[in-house]
Amino acid sequence: MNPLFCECLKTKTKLFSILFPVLAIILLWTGWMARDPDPVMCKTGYTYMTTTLLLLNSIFLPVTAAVMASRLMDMENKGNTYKLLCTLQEKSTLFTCKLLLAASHLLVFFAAETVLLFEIGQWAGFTESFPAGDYFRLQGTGFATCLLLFILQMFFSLRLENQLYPLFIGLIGSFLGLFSMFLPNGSFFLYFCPWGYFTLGGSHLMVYEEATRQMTFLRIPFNRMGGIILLAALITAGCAVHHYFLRKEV
Amino acid sequence: MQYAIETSALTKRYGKANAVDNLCLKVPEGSIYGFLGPNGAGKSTTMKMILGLVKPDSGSVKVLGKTISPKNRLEILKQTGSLIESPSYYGHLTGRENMQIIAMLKKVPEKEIAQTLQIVRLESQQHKKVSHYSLGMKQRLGLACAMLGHPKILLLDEPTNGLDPAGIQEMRELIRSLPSKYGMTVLVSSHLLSEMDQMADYAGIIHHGNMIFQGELETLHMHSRHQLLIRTQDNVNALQLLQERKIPCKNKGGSLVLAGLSDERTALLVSALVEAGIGVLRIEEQQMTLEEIFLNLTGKQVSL
Repeated sequence: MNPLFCECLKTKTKLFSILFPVLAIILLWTGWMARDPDPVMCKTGYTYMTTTLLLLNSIFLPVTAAVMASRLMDMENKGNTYKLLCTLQEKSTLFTCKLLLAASHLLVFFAAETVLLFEIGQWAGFTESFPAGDYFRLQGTGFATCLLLFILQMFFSLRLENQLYPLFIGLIGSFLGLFSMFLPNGSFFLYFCPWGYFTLGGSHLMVYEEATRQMTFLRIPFNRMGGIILLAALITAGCAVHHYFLRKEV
Repeated sequence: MQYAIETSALTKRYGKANAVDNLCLKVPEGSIYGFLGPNGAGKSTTMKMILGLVKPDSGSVKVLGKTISPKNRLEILKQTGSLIESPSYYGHLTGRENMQIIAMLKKVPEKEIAQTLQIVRLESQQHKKVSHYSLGMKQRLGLACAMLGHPKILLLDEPTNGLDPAGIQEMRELIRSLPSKYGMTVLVSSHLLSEMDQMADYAGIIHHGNMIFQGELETLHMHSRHQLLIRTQDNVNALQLLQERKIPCKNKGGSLVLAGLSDERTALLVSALVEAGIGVLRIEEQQMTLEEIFLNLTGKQVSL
C-alpha cells in the first residue's frame, strides 16, 4: 500500500483538479439540455441522455486522459526522480501504482457522472425509470476506453520529451474519435481508432426522420466483437507500455 | 581490507563504444572514495550500474559483500543512499513532503525527517515549495533524501555541481564529516580534482571507461614526480656540466629543470657546480599538483 499512498501524496489533488472541471462542464451541459422537459423528454429523458453523454465523453475524455498521463509522467521527468525511485522500489510497482491511481480516479469520475446524471433527471422531472443496464454498459465501456487512452498517452509522455506533443496527440485523437462516430455501427475501420471506442458503449441509435421531423431511438445490441477488441487492446497496451517502461533506462 | 563496494570487470557498451570497460572498483568501508574523471569518462554510468539503474553488459557488483542481482537489488540498496547527476525532487511539493515520500518508500520513521533536514540545514525552509528552492538548497535536499535512514553507503555523483563557493565548502564539510559521525562510506564522483584533494581518503581515476589509478590519495600524490629547479650564475656552463655527468636537464625560463634527485645526489651536484666555479643562486623543489598528475595519467586536459 505504501507505494500507492506515495503516488497519492505526489499527485495531491492534481488529478481531481483535472477531472472536476470536466465533470462540471458535462453536467452543466446535460443539465441545460434537461431543463424544462416536454412530456416526450420526460418519458425518454434518461435514454436520450445516454447519447448525449456518449458524445460529451468522446469530446472531453481523450484530452483529459492525455492531460492526466502527462501530469503523472511529467512530474517524474521534470524532477529527475526515476533514478531515485528506482533504487527504492521496483519499476513495475511504480508503473502499476500510476495506472491504479489513474484508474481509481477515472472510476470515481464515471461513478460520479452516473449518479449526478441520475440526480439531474430527478431534478428535471424525468418519469422514465433509470436504465441502469444501459448506463452500466455506457460507463463501463467509457471507463475501459479512457483507461486505454490513458495507457497510450502514458507511452507518448514517456517517449516524447516535450509534453505538448502528447497533448496534441490527445486532441487530434479526440477529433478522430468524433469522426469515427459517423462510421456505420460495427464498421471494421472503427476498431483502428481507439479514441472512438466510446461508441461501443452506446445502447441506442438515434434516427432522425426528416419527413416527420422526429427522432427515434433504436435499441442496438452490445457489440461483442467490439467489446472483445477493446478488452484485448487494453490488455495489450497495458503489457506493452509496462514492458517499455521497464526497459527504459533512467 | 573490507570493501563496501566492489565491482569486478564491469562493462557497459553503448553501440560500439565502451562507456565502462572491465572496471574493478574497490571502495574501502568507512572511507570517502573520490571517483575522478573528465566529463564522459564513465563515472555516472558506473554509479548507475552499482545502483542497478543501468544493466551492465558484463561483470558484477558487490555491495556490502553481497553480489547484486535483480532479485536482491532493492534489499541491498536499502542500505544505500544516492544522489545521481542532479537532485531528484517534486517541485510542486514542499521539501518536507518530498522527504515524506522518500521516508515512506524507505520505511523510515517520520521523526528522522526532522533530524536529516537539520543535518543539511534545511529545517527552516522545509515548508517551502521545492520549485522555489535555489540550486544549492535542492542539492542539500537531494543529499537529505540520500541520507534518510542513515544508510551505510552514500553514492554522490558530482554533488557540488552548480553550487556557489560557499555552498561547495558547506557540502564538502558535510560529506567530510559523514564517515566519522555516522559511520558511512561515501563514494563521491567529481571532475574537480582540487575538491577531491580536500575531501577524499581514497581515489579512483577513470578515463575512457578504464580505471587508470586506484588507491589512497597519498599514493596518488606520490605519483607526482618531483622536479628540481636550479638557478645558477652561469646556466650555459652548468647545463654542459650536468650533461657531461649524464643528468637529464633542460634550461627553461632562466632555470635548469631536473627530474627529482635524491638528497645525496643533489648535494653532490651542488658541490660539483661550486667546484666548477658556478655560483648556485637558488635550488627549488617543485611537486606536481593533482591536476598535473591527472593530466599525466590521462594525457588529457581536465575540465575545471
